[in-house]
Amino acid sequence: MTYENAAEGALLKDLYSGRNDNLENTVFAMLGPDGKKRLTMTGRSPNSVYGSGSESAATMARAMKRHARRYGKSSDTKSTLTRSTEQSPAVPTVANLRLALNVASCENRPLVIVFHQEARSRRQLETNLGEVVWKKLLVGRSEYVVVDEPKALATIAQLRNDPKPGIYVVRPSTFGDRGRLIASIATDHKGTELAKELDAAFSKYRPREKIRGTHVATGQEIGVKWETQTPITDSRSSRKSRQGRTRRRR
Amino acid sequence: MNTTTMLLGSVLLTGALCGQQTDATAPEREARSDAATGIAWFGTWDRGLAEAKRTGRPILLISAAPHCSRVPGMW
Repeated sequence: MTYENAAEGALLKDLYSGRNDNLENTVFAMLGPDGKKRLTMTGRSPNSVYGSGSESAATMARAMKRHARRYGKSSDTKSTLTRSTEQSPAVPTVANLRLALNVASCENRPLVIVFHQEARSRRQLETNLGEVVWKKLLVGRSEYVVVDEPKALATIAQLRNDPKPGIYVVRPSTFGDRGRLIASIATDHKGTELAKELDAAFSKYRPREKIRGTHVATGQEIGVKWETQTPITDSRSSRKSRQGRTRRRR
Repeated sequence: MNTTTMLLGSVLLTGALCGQQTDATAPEREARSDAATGIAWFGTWDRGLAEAKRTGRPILLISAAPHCSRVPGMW
C-alpha cells in the first residue's frame, strides 16, 4: 500500500515517480517473477500505460496473456509450477490490524483476524486458513490479518476484554477505524469445516453503500483523518486535501 | 484527479492465464487451490514476491493509498 511501508515506498518510487520525481498515490507495473524485470512501461495506473479508450482493457488483457504464456513456456517455470500446485499460496494478509480494518472498509468486505499469542499455534492457524482461502468458495471475499497481542484487538467491540485464540470474522466500520464481530471460529476447525464456517460468516456480511463525495465530506466534517506511515508526496493529493480543509472552514 | 487510489497488491498471473498443463488427475486438480488457475492478490510486496518466485509467474502490481483526501474507508 502506498505510504504505509518505507521499503515498499522506495520500491514503488523506483518503479514510477511522477512529474515532480515523487512517489504518487498509485503505481502500476508488470514485472517478472524476480520482481525486478519490467515487462511493460510503468505508470500511475493501467490507463497511463494502455490508454483509457474502449480498447484499453482488451489491450491490457492481451499483454497479460502474452507475459503469462511467456513464463508458462519456460521449462524451469514448469517444474516450479508443478511443485507450486502441491502447496497453497500463503494467506494474503495485510500488515497490521489498523491497516487491515481500513482496507476491508475500502474494499467493503469482511476482515478475517487470526489471533493467537503463541507463535507456533498462530502459524498453525494461518496454515489451516491457507489451505482453504484460495478455494473458489472463498477467494476474494475478505481481507486477512494476523494478530499476536490482545491489546491490538481493542478496536473490535467484542474482543476488547480477554480475547480467546481463534479465527474471527469482523465487519469493519464505515471509516475502517473499528470493527464488530460477525463470527468466531474455534482453533481446532480446519479443512471443509473451516471453509463452511467462513462461507457462512461472509454470507452474513452486507456491503455498505458508499458515495465517494458524501463519505469524504462526512469524514472531514467529523474529523476522521488517516495518518500514513510515510509522508504523502503526491502533489495532487496534497492540493485536494487542502481544498477539503478550506471548504470546512467556510 | 481523484486522490483516492486502489490497494497495493502484487498480483500473480497464474495457471489459467499461463495455460499450464500438469500431469495431475482431475480429482487432484479439483482439490488444488483455485489460486493456481486464476489471479492471486497479495496485500504486501513480500508475500506477492515470494509467491511469484515460488511459482515462476509474473507479477501485476497495483499500489494505492487507503484513503481519499485523508479520509479512510475509501480508496
